[in-house]
Amino acid sequence: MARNVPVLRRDDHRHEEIGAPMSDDHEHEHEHEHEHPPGHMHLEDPDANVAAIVADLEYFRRKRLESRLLFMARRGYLPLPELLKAAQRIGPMDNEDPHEDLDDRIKALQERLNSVVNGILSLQVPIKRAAIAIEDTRLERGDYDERFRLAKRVYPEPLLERIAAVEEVLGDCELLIAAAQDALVASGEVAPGSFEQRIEALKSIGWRNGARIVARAWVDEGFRERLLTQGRETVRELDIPPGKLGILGIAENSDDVHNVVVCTLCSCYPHDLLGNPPWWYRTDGYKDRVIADPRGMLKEAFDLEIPEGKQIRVHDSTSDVRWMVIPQRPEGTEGLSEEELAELVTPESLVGTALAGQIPASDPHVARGLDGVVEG
Amino acid sequence: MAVPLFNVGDRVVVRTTPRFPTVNPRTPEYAKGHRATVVATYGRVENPLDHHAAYEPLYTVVFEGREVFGSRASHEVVAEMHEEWLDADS
Repeated sequence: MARNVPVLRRDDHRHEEIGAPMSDDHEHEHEHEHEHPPGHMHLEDPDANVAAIVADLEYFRRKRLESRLLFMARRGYLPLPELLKAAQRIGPMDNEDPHEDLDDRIKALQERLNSVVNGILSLQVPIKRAAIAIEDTRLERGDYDERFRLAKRVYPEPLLERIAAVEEVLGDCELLIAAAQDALVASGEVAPGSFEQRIEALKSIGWRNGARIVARAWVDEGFRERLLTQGRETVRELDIPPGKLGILGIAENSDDVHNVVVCTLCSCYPHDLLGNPPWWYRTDGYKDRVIADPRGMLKEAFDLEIPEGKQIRVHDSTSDVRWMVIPQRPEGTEGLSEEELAELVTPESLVGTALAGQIPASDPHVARGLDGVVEG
Repeated sequence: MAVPLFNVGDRVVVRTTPRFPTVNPRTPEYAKGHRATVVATYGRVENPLDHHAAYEPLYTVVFEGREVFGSRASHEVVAEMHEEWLDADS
């Protein structure tokens, strides 16, 4: 099936890759195909955009938000009645009416999701009574024991009902986040202003840090050497906060080797340096195929053909070593400044599913194959 | 402090169960029972944002794709493994 190459807008990668709905629990969803004429200026595939939003929303709701609140309730750091009282203090959240125009409505979902994700991540500020590690929520969310898995929400068809359901869940998450923040401040576990400070800090974390690191490594051999030998601390030279979530693994592409990154056990990524990975990074479809057949998967799902003679090296991340790829500098870029070079680096190229300077393509039709769903 | 059992260049086999009860019950399923070569050692990694107690000594090991995924696979898999999941390949 012929399809236009999806447009990747660089200002917000996370929710705009076009792809098939994929879940991390092998719960397959069926999508309608939407073909648009060439030159169509709207979102290229509303279904796929909403599917990506659902994948992100369900991941962050179940694995980061509700599991953490349950952990804090279980240990008595945030008793559930305190959460309810905080919700009463806050009162109803006023939400704007949805946009009439479908594209505007989906874009509003994306913006709202961004803000919800930052709110969820802000709940990781330290509390007075305990140091909570990612390991605690990993247990709580059922990474080691399926009986702890939080159920996935059902998002109905058709698209408009699906969007309305997403809006409702976003509203629920906004209320939960606000109530948790309020309750933790009210009980003295967290100092006033801490959540706002964390959200501001989160805004400086993202894949653009990776783009700047790559561009510097391309133009400055000394920096490249230090990055490869000393790792994370080297990024201080760029005034980028290095983060401290384990060791930063650097996988450098060359004429002989192409590197790809995955985390088959969960979704480990250097996210305190590079922000959240593209949404499909957390899907079983990506994990299962990239580890067993990276050459085939890259070609089919990302239109990336690695020459037969080139070795592919798949890095399976863990919580203690989190990998990023240094893509190869594209040919013909000798005259570009460091800033211009950084513009060639995409989130996909930092994972190894695209080359630098290449618009990544994730065709919804073939990307669906990642989760093993056969058309028809 | 325990001395790491393995050195760079050592051949190892991934166990199907850890050698002793462990706070880190994870190692990838595909790797179990397969042979790999140690390419980096880290000792015990302190990573308090991620886990409270340091896990067992950590290694980067490399698997030949064909050894794990069959003769048609030509790639390499590079993975980090904790010591309680590894035996010496004798």
